Amino acid sequence: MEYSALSDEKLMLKYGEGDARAFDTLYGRHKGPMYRYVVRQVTDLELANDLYQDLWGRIIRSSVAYKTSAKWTTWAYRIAHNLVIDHYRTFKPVEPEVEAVISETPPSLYEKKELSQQLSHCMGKLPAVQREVFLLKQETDLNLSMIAEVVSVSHEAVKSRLRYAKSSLKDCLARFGVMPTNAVRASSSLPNSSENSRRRT
Amino acid sequence: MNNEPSKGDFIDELYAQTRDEQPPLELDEQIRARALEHIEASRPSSLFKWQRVLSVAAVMVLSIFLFFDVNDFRRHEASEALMDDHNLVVPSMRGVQKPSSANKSLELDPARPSVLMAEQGLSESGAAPIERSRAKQEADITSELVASEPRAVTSKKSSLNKSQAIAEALSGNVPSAESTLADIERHLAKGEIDSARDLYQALKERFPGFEVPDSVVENLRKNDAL
Repeated sequence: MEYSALSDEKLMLKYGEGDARAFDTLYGRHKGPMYRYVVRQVTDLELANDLYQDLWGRIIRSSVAYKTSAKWTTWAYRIAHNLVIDHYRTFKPVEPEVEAVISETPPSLYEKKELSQQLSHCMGKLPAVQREVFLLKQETDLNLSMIAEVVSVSHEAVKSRLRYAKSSLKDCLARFGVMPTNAVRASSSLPNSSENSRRRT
Repeated sequence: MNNEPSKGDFIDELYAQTRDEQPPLELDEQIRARALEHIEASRPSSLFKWQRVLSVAAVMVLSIFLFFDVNDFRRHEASEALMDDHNLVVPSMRGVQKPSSANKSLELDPARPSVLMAEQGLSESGAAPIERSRAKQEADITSELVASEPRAVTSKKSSLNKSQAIAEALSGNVPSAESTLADIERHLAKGEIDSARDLYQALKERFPGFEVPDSVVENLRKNDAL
């Protein structure tokens, strides 16, 4: 049987029946996006790893009772969202100061690593609710309605948060001198840049 | 109008370049191991399956046993009631409340000590030397009853007698007037007057309309049995 062709829901059901290979496939498919979703919201890497492990622990425990009432991604990210919310309730995150970031800006701004660092810094500056919606949009194939379901807000609220998040990111990156054209030029010089970037260049 | 943000804007492209972050390998291993453990833990063991089968079988056997036991008890109650109606002494299936027919000789009837003696093979004239105290007699009878018919160790023979008695009572197979009369005559011939008298009284109670031959009545009168 070709496991990679199976949907997330089918894989989860198969894992619930005791198929370890189904879990491997499901985990391989979602480990990256989920990890980034958690790590980019929690500043402490060790704590983020704990949360990530806890998230999969909850998914594993729920596998027996899992029913395909919703898309698996919506269900799983809802668990992740609740975990992150619990984390915020316990530890109030410290927002990084943008001035400090600017002062640390290296001269070779357009190198990939530094560009990523700037984006990460700018994302860290976003309000938590906007950052979460932005991450869900970037990391998953969920549409706005599904994201609204995950974060328990209206569709309009999600749209608004996403728009504000992107706007804030653009402003933040512009302060570092990263403009759309610059970014594209920088990304086009990178080995794994996207097809769209190449075309624009 | 498409309300969703346009795809392919530079933020998305920029973000796409940062999607190389992956969980550490040891974290992957831990999660996979946990998933396997969960499968093992949720899989019922073969021992557990057998335990379930055995417990279900035990419950079924117990239920069947209780069903038949309760039915048996009800049937016995009915037969006892029937026997009482016919003034018969029946073997009790529940403990030793009533003496069985097998233990009829052990029946203690203060009004008729002669019956007891007669059935023990003692004559009226020889009764005096074996007059025992009532307390001793009671103690002996009680101990014999307990020894002969404890509920927990009912022998096959006694259960067979009980079954026969119940079957007779249920089918109405009680001694007929003619056979009782024959018994009376037999007792009279043997000189067992008390037994003959008891049987005569029982006959009159059971079959009030039955005409006892004059010769028998005369014989009983002659022996002061009436």
